[in-house]
Amino acid sequence: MKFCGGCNPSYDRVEYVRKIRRAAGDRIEWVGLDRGRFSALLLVSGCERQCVELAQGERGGCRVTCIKDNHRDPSEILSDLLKEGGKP
Amino acid sequence: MIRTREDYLQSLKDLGHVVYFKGQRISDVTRHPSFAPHINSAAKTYELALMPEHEDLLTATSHLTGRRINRFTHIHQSVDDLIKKVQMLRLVAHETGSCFQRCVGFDGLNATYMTTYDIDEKHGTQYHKRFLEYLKHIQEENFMLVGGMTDPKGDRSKPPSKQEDPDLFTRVVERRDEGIIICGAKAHQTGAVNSHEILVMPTLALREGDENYALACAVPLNAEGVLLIFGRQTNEERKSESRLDAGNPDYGMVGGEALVVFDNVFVPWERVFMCGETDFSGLLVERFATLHRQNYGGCKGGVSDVLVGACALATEFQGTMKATHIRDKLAEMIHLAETVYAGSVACSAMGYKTPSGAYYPDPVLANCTKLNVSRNIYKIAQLAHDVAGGIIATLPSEADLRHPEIGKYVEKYMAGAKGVSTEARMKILRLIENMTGGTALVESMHGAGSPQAQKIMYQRLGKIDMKVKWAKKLAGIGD
Repeated sequence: MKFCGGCNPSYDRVEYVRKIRRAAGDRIEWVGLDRGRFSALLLVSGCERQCVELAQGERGGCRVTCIKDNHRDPSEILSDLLKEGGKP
Repeated sequence: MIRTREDYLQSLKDLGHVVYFKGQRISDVTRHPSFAPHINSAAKTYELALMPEHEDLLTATSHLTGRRINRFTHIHQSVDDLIKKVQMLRLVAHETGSCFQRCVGFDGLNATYMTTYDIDEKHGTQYHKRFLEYLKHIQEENFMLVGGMTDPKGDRSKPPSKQEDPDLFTRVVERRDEGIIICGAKAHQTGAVNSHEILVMPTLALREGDENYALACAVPLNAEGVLLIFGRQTNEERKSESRLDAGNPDYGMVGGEALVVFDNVFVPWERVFMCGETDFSGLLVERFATLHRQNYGGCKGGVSDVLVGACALATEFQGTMKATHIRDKLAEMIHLAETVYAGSVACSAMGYKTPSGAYYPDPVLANCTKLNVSRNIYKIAQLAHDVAGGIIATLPSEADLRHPEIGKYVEKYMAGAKGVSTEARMKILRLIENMTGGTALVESMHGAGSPQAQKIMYQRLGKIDMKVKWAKKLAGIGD
C-alpha cells in the first residue's frame, strides 16, 4: 500500500486502513511499494485531490484500488483488493 | 459566431430582448448610457481573446470539438485550467476596473456539466448528453450566459413549496411532451441585460415536496415571456452627465444587475438539465458557489490593483506620496489584494478531477477566498478613502470646472502639486470614488453568496472531527 503525505486529511487514514487490515486478517500480506513484489495495490488519499502519485514502475503491473474517504465499509475495500489480484 | 466586440454589440442589438429601466422599455441596450459601460466591460472578454498577448489566458481548446474557444465557455480539464481562469480574471479586471460579468455563466456551465453527469449516473437520465450538445452550441457561438441561481425567496423561513406565492422560487408549472413551462424570477442577475442566454439553476438544497423547484435549464433571453428589469446603482446618472464625474466612464461600477422574470416560459426538453431531482439540487448549488467563489481573488484582486494605482497617483498629485504613513497604507492595500489573489490560486492549485472529468477547485479554500474578499475589499476601500482624503466626498462637478465664470476658482483651489493639472487630479479622485462607493462594495460582500453562506460551508466541510482528534492527541486526551 501507499499513503499520500496526509497534509490535511478529511478522515483518519491510518485508522481506516487499520480497519481494512483487521478485516483482511491473514488473507493479505501487507508491504510497502519498496519492499518486495505485490499482486494488488492500495492507494490511500486523505482528500478528494488524491495527490499521491506512483513513480515509474511502482505499479508493478497490478491493478490499483484507490480510497479518498472512509465512506465505504472496510470489507468492501477488502473485497476489491482480493478481486483485483490479492491472495485467494 | 461572435468573435469581435462589434459582433458582440450587433448580437445584442439583434437579440430584441425585453429590458426595462426606470419605468421605460429600452429598445437598444448598446446605445443607452446606463448599459453601455457594462457592455464595454463584457466586450473585453471578446476583445482580449483576439490579442496574441492575451490569448493564452483568454482562450482554451475545447475537449468536445478540439477547436480553439473562448475560455469563458470552457470546461476545466486540469488544475492548470483552474489557475488560468483566476489569472484571466485578474487580467480582465486590469482592463475594466470593474466586473465584466461573464464568469457567472462560465461557472454555471462547469457546475451543470459536473452535476448532470452525476445525476445520470444515479438516475439513468439523459441530462449530461443533452448538456454536451448545448455546451457545443455555446462554445461554437461564443455566447455570453447569465448564471441564474438566486431566486427572490420571499419568506426565507419557508421552503419553496410553502411560500404564499409559489413563484418566489423558479419552478416548473407544466410538463408537456415537447418541454416544460416555467414561472418565477432570478434576482441580482449580473450581466443579464447584455447576455444571450440564462442558465437557470436551483437556489438551495431541496427536499421531497419541492420537486417542481429542482430545475436546471437554459433559456434564451429573448424567449417569449422573459422580461428583465435593470437595477439602480450608486451615482448611475453621472454616466449620462459627465465623463469626468463618472470616474470610470467607459466601464461599469460593478456588473449591472437585473431581475429576470419568467412569465410562463416554454423550455424544450433538450434544454432541460434537471427536472425534479431534489437529491442533486444541493450539490449543484454547492458546486456553482465554489466555482464562483474561486473567482473573487482574481477579479477583485485585479480591481484592487487598479485602485492601488489610483491611490498612488492621487498621493503623487497631492504631494503626500513620500509620507511614511501613506507608503505604509499603500503597502497594506497591496498586501490585502495579494492575499485574496493567493486564496484564488490556492483553491485552484488544490483542485481535483470530478467523476465527469471536469476539474473543481478545493471548496473550503474557495469559500475562504470569498469570505476574505468580503472583508478585505472594505479594508482596501477604507484605506483608499484615508489616503485620497475627504476631497472625494466634496469634489465639485465637471460642470463647475468648465463653467465660464466659476471654473477658474475650481481650477485654482482644487489644484495639487506643481505640474499636475487640476483636471487630472479630479479624474483620479473620481475614479477612486467610483471604485469604493456603495454598489461596488455591496457586490463584493454579497456576490457569490453572503458571508454567512461561506461560514455554513465551513461548518459542513471544515473537518472539525479531525481537528478535535489532533487537539486530543497533543493534550493527551484519549477517545
